[in-house]
Amino acid sequence: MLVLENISKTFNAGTPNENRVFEGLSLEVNEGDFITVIGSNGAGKSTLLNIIAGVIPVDGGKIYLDGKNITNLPEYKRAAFIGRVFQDPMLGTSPSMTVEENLSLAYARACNISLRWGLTAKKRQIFKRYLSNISLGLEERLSEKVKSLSGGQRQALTLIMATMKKPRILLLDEHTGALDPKTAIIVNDLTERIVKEEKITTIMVTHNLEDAIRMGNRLLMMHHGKIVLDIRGKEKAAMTIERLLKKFEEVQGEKFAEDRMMLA
Amino acid sequence: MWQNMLLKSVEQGLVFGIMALGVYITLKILNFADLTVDGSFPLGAAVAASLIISGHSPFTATAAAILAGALAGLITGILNTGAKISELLSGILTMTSLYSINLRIMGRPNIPLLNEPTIFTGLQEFVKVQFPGFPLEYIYLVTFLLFVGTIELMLVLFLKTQLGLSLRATGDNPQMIRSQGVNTNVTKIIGLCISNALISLSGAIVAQYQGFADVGMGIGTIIAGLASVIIGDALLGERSILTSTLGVILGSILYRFSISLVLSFRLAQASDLKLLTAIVVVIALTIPRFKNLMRGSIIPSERG
Repeated sequence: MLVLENISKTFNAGTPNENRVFEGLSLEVNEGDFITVIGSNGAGKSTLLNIIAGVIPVDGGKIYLDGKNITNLPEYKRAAFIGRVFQDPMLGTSPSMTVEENLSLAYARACNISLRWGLTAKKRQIFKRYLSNISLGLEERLSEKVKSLSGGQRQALTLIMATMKKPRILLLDEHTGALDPKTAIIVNDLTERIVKEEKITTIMVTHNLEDAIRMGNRLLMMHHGKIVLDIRGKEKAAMTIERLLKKFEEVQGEKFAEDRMMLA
Repeated sequence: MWQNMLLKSVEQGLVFGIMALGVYITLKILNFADLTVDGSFPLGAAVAASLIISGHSPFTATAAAILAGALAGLITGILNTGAKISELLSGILTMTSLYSINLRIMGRPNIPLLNEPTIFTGLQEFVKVQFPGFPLEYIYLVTFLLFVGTIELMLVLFLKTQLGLSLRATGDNPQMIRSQGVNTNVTKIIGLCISNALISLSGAIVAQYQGFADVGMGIGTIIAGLASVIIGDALLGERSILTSTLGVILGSILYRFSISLVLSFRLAQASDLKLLTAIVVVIALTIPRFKNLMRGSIIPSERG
């Protein structure tokens, strides 16, 4: 359903800081895939998501979604069918607006330029139902400003906002990376539940190898702007950290080194 | 004399409060430092005054002033979002060009309106007939209260619509609102148009209220608007849109009152006003930090 064809991207081209991230990267994402993406720093994981979301324009290559060429579609237009959660809990919500106002913006995604009321009794009911599903007590705090929420609550809220209007594809950029381990588990569980219940095609970048192996049906390992491993189905289900690292060595002929990577 | 001074300050505070609401939209809602203000305020006065002396109805003239202000905001918006010129410079460019444009519109630096019909002409007659016994010295006060109240209410309601929420999110977290499918260039331009339309409307009413339009009447408007917004913020805080917009109008009244207080004590002359205003703004901006120090708080204020 999502096809990246021969993508190339260079940052700071023609300067001493030139950084060639992608050179002919191709990827095909199938309907219903839940892909976890791992890789060392600078492998291009976040750039990959930003290119799909349209935050960063590509230098070459094409992006198709459902057969439609979206390569030149601006970010705010792609938002109609792409849901996103960022690593920084501050990025996904509007801090000085209330929980319900934030939800209202997500509920009207891609139809926000309108003079209809932002909040109605009916919408509040719907928001309450969504929030009581995640059992974080947020349904009692609809009219509180988001800046009073904890990082985990904000990520859970962002996740709901990204999936409330079912996106064609959900992009998660290390969305539990800034949370404490306990909260990370809650947000990860919530992620799995929503993705499963709504059958949302998902790409999740993570630094946690265990999460990458445990979650999803397909695992991509990136290295220096290339997808070096693409593990699916049964092989993915039988994967362990040791096997994964060994496989990486086989393919790359070098040890997988990543200071930030969590092995367990 | 005191009563009269108080009355005049409240009247002025209300009329200039419309301008302050415009400044509030860009500064607080959009988080956009818009300097178009010093040009769009006299633009409203210029458009209204020249249309009135050329025989148009004062209401048509005032409506035209609103449109002209929106156009000024549109130009600043296009300079910033389209031509990618910085916020400050976009506003300065529009403001500076408006000085020439305003002179063109007026054809001379000053247009007196003393013997011309204005939106207030007939007001006294109307009240005398409809509400006999109403104390006539309060006519302007009540009219302005109703008018500014209506504008504030409309603004508050607008900010509760889906578009209004998008505008607020644009100032608060542009990345988030783009990922919800909103073109932040469009919301910025819409906000700038509404803001400068209000500022221009304020200029048009001020010209008719004081009886003249002057090409230099815009100098320092942004600082007066800023002072009102900051004083309002200090008084009522940012609990809700309703309280913060009320705060802006209250801030505008308080600002006008303190200015006339200073003038009535002969502590300064009229030409010192801009300097005084700047000092008021500096004090208002530093008081919150000072309060933090007094409380022994080490937590810095949230925005810069």
